[in-house]
Amino acid sequence: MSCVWLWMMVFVSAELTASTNSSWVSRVWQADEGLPENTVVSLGQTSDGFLVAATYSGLVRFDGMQFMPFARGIMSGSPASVINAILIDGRDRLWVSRFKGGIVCVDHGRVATILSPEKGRLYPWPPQMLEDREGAVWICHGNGEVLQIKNGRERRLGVQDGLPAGGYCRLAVDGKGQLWFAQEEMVGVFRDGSFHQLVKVPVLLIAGARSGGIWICGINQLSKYTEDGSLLKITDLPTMEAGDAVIVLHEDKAGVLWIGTRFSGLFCYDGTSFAAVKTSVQTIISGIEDRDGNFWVGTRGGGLNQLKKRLIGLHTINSSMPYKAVQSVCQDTDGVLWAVVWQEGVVMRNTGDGWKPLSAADGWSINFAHCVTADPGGGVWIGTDGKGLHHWRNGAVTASFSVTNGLESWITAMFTARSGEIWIGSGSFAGQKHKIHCLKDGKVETFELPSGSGPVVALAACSPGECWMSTHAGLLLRIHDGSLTDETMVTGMARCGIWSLLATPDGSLWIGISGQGLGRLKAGRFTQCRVEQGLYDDYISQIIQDGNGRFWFAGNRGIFSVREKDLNDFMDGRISRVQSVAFGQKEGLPVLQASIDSWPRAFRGADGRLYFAMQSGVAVVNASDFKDNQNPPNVVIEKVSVNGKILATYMPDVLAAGTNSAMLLDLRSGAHLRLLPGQRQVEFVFTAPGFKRPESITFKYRLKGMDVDWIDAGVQRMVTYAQVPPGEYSFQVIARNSDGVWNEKGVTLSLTVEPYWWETIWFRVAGPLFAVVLLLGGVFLVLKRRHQHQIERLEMQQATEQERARIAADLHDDLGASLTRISVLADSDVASLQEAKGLRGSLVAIGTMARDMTRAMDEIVWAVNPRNDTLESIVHYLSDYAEDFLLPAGLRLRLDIPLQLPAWSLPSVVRHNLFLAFKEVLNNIVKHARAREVHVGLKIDPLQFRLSVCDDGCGLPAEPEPAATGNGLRNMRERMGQLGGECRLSSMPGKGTTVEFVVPVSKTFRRDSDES
Amino acid sequence: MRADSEQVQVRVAIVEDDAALRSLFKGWLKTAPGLKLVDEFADAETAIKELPQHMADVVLLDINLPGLNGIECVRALKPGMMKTQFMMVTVYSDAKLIFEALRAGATGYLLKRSTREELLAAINEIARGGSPMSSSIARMIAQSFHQPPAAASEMDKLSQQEQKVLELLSRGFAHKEIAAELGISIPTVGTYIRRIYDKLHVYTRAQAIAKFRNR
Repeated sequence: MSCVWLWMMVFVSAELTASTNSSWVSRVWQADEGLPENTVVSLGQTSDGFLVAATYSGLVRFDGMQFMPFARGIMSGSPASVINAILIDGRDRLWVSRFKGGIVCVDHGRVATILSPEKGRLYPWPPQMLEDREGAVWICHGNGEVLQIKNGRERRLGVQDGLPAGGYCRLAVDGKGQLWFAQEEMVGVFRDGSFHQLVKVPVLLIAGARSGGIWICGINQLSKYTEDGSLLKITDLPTMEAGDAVIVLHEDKAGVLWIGTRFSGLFCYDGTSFAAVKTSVQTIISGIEDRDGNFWVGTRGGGLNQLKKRLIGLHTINSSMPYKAVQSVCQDTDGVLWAVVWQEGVVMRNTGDGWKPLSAADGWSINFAHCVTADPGGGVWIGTDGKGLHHWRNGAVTASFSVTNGLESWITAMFTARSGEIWIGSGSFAGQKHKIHCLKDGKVETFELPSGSGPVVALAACSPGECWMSTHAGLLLRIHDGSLTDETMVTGMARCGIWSLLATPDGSLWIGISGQGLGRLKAGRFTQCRVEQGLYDDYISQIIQDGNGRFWFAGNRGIFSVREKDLNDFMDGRISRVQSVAFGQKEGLPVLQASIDSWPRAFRGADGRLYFAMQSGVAVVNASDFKDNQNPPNVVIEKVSVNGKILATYMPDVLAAGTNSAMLLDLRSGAHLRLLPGQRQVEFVFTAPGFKRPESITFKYRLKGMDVDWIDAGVQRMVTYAQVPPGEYSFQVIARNSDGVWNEKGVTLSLTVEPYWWETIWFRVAGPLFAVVLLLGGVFLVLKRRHQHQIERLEMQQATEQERARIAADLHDDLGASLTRISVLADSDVASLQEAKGLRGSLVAIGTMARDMTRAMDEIVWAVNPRNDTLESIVHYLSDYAEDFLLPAGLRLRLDIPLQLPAWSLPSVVRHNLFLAFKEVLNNIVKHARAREVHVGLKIDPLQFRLSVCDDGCGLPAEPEPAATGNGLRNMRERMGQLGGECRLSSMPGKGTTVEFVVPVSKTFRRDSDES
Repeated sequence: MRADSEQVQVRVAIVEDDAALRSLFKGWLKTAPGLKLVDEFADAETAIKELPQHMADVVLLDINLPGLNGIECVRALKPGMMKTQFMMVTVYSDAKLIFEALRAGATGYLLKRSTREELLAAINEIARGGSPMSSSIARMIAQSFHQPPAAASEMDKLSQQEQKVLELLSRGFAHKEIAAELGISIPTVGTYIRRIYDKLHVYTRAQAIAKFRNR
């Protein structure tokens, strides 16, 4: 508690001693409010409206509510390279100068060095950087150099361009766009590419004048110079300490000239005189006027100050804390302010030179005052606690009313109606009897209140003979057509504390309800507005209209205002929210709390000011100075976070080294956000840079694609969507300034939430199809692999075949030819050597042997040669062999072979084994069977063929067969087994033998050998 | 025999790339009665150029020649030398190759490993109008005649008797068995075979033409 007191004392005393009379109030932001530190060396503003402040600890941008780091990377490097000046030009390029020298230009993340640190020199003051109307940036360096950067080209100007020699140049642009210079007691203009010296005058600093020409700060003197040659001394500068200097000189849009000094604080010149303007500290080192016309100064050690026209003042009864509370106020027809000091019963009067008690000297000796109200005929009515009602005018009590006139002696509330009627609530000491009186033309009309109603708390009246009142017990009563009715139930609320009433000419009764906001009773219909709907306070103890379309309210949290139209629109259901503009501490005032103990407690003065009885004095509102802000707020989306991780920001700090800022998407450039599957919790932070009552800027947003309608965010600048399903969206925000001007276009960010693959419509629709395709694909792959295997095997087979073909060819061409030659040679010599019998025998033997060998070779070559890998081929070979083998032996051969044979392929191994088995059978027949005829048959089955050899010989013996025959049979069986086939033997003694070879033909070998 | 050989001189030409073998055959032919070697060639190209001038009765033609092979050689020569019989000589009894040669116009074939007697007998037989035909060749010819080309005239088709001979051959019947079966002489069987070969030749050409036309 003591802490609070201490703080209030420090604050208020500082406030009041310097600026209670000032019409300017400064709002201060310091390190506590998010400023990196309290020295603001330079100021700028981006095209989006962010105010940029340069401190020794780096740059920040400010939207009116919050400070955000700005171009942090600029500060990287040595601590000595602190910033001493910045300029943000019309193209949002940031120009930064440092104490150690060097100027860089940051153009949307790209840094260009304008002056290298090596070239820069140490000067006690920072360079001046300024942009002219043509977009050229001028840099006046400490060594007198002037640098112009226009369209990317640098130009260095000096004496050759018309500047005086020596000294330090200062530039300014006037309201007509003319560039001026001041250097070495010389002032002139820049025109047609060079400087023109115009007048010699002692000059320290210049500033452009709105109407054209320049303001010149000389030594202790302010002058104005216009191009027509007139040099006007305006006034002497305010007295400054020795060694002090003017650092900031600026004329704002309203025509106020601001002068910031190094040690003596800030002054403003309104055309007649200088006024000191209270700032957080006296050392002003930078200043800027924002686009809304607010003037800002940066201080050394005192943070950032925004200067605003004072709207609310507090007239305290006493000059020091604690300030006395005021319970009733009014203004008489002479313009004199009246107030009743709470609990003291003292009436205070203010004729313009401060509050003075109404004393015996003034003809007033009743110190039990409770309330005061003006008499339309002059003077005031003073209601007292237990002493009745008195009229005071010009130093004397002129009339008194008491129980003798039907009044009770305790006057609780009074109200002077527009009609001239005075309505008075009175009560007995015991509090049992409560009455309401109408005083008109000296006559009193009395109405008794229902028992238990309690004393009258608030009064309102609009038309003659009609009055609304609320009572201590929570009743809402009405006097109408000469009778009193209880209207409490109209509100639908049973006996609430109704603290204040206001009847407006449109027939509405406005009702301030304790803790329940504001109600309107119109045409028998009661509607209500509360904090949730934008009302600043739910405790409203005073309501007045300012005559400019606004309601003003005083409540527990101070004074606030709402546009009448908004309130009526809200009460009529046309809008869902109202916008309150609140005043209080931000105005440099102590905590404002309205009084509730008497009536009347507020009024609109003859001067248009509004007066409220507060617990710390009388609050005075210069309502006519309250200007609606016509500029729609600029809306930006500041940040998008997904699942708690920042994904995109407005102006990502691309220069910040070591951060992942560079990875962030820049929301400035109409970015499209693509959210990966599963990124569902999306948080949007948005803002509207603005400095005129920024806390009253309200927002609406919608996520198009999800929200059907706009969602009223109120003053909230953030929204989180917990579950955003996959799809295409656009997030839109619109904003309204404190005065109801909408930026309907707002800002839009399009975003795509990517679906998981199983969430895609494509998948849902085509999923089953996809599954089938997948399955088919799998089957295809398996088949393809199998096919691949087959191809590989075939390739291998082909390679083998080629090899076999080569072997066959070699055997045929070389060995075969030689053997043939031998056999033929042997034969020829037999003919010529008839006589030499021994030799002849040998030669015959050689010839026979050679022929046998060729035959054997023939068989091998046939077996090896892949050309013969067909069923057709083996049939030919076998039948020819049988013919050649059996006919010379005198056996008959009968072939029973289908004319057309399937194009089956039989690999070498099959042919070879089958041939050998066949040969074995024929051999056996010729050797053992004593047969006359051999029948060779071939039967084709679906997957096999059967080769049968049948003889009409003696058949096989029943008893165990001879070893030779047995071996032959076993051989044949083995051979057939190797082929996966079998060898069937059937024999009947004396009726011949049948051998059947069954050879399976695998699919692989059933290919068409001719085609492959 | 002697009277025969004096009366009829069978003019024989040899196309054989193996010089050693060629001279051996030459030796055999020189000493053989009734046969006269009229020329010898080492390759098909020379033979195609020069053979038509020599009016040989029988040409022993190696199937496996360098460059153009023996089959192509027959195909080139036979149309201009209808009276000349081409006998293919081969190291191995490759039925398919032999069949191709027969289709191209050859009317006989012989394995190189044959003895002198076999060779001389084969030459005499072919000169007298007979031809050898194994069962497998008979099968292939039968197959061939199963797919008649559109261009084949009635005359080119096999007669019933010829068909019968072909069928018996393909079933392994020896010539004498066929003669017995059909009640004809053994040389007549050879004559039938020769006719079959001739028709096969014509038939093959017709097939080729049909194929060409239908392309």
